[in-house]
Amino acid sequence: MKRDRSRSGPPLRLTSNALYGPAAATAPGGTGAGRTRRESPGRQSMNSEPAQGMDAVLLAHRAQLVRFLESHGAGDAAEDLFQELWMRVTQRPSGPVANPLAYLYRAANNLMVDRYRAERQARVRDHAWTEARGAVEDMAPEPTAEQTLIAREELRRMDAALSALGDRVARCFRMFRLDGTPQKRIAAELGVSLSTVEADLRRAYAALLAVRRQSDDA
Amino acid sequence: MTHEPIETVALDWVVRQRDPAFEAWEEFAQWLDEDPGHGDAYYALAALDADLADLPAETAAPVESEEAGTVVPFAPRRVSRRMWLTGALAASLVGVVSIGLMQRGQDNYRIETAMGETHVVTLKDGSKIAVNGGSSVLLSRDDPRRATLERGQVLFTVVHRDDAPFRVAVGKAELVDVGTVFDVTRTGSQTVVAVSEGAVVYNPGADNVRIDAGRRLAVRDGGAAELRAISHEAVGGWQGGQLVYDGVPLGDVAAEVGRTTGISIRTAPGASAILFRGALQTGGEPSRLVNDLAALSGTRATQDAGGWTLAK
Repeated sequence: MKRDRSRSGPPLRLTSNALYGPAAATAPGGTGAGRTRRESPGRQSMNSEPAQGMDAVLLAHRAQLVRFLESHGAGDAAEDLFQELWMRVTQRPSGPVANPLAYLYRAANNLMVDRYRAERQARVRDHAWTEARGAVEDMAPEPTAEQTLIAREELRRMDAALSALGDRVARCFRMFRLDGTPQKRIAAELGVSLSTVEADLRRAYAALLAVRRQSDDA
Repeated sequence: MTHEPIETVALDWVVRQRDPAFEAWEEFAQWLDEDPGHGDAYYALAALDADLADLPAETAAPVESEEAGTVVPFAPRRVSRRMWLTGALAASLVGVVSIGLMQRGQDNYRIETAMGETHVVTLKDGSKIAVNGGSSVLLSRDDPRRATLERGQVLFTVVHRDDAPFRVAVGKAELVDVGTVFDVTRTGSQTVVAVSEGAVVYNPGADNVRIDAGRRLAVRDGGAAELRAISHEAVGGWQGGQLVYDGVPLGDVAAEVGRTTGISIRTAPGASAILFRGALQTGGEPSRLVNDLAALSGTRATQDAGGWTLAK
């Protein structure tokens, strides 16, 4: 296994806030637990047949994927996160994948977004969270009753905000996000232009984001 | 460079990435590199977008769930077919009725596995059925597009055909694939379906709940179906020597570990509802696996003649 980047060098980019930088460096348990279980991927310790193909793709594109994680603000933790990505990707039998590199980029993207979400949830749960960077360490795997209430209340308000935008926007958004209907087909079905669908989606997301910001500030 | 506000561009990325065929990841990374603010705007929206999977499919009065967890209870019967199934998908499912599978024809065969023993079958159509330990599944030589899961856990990697969707009977329900890798577990009266690729429709004739990739449906016989988000990678991990969980009740985890490895693990009443996140290697020493599971779930493991018990 080759380490193609010096660990002692400065992080390529310092993140502008604490949201997705320190977690990788500090979380020994909690959601990061998976990573501690997996040994260095370079050892080829995998003995499951189906993983072999993806192992090869991971190795071949290692530098690009680490770079991609760095673009996501992974900084110094990019190598560790690559190992977490490795674990996520190789442990399950993958069917035929049309474009393996795109598949891996998506998996890497999901990994980073999931981490952000876990940290955000921890913040929402812990009202006292301020600048304490170590707070990420005690992310409990189990949502507390309060967290559940907050999440449910937020969903309820989002649902209301969506309805307030009118039938077409709400319908358009639900078709897109919940049913996975392509925009073109939404346009055809609702009898509107594609740009109307795009505009409706923007309005819907903006309204939902506003709800979220209110709950974050609360 | 663009004159549009960062948030608009970030949203465009989120929307474009929802398309499974999206491939412009390098272009996206370049945009992230341009300005740290891009990542901030993107993450806020991408996290929001991911969380929106739990929005009700139709506006409805909020339904109270007695169970803890960020689970939105579904009232499937109120969900119109139109909302779930649009266009070609609906067309391919028109005329589907819930019928008891495998009731006619004698050319059925059963695959039964002992705890800790797994078995993989490739069907005539190329679909692959991986049967975990402690499971029983009924297949038909006449019709390779049908299976009945009697108990235990099966990972289906299905070759999708629009003209003949793959159907799985489980309990009194039926699952219909929409191009798919999915894992079905039947324990007692509970059915759990986790989808890693494509989608599956649960009971198209009646409840009509669509389970998309990255979602897990849990339903008790006669109860309402509940959907929650899971990581795609968590589906079917038992096949690869590693089990990955993303918020799964500890009782279900213990049962799956038992099927996969043959290690008997019970969960004490207070512990079985704990939502577990973490990864477990199934190849090593049983005691190590059980201790890992206990440590990661914040429980204590004790061993007696009958096996292991996890308690708070």
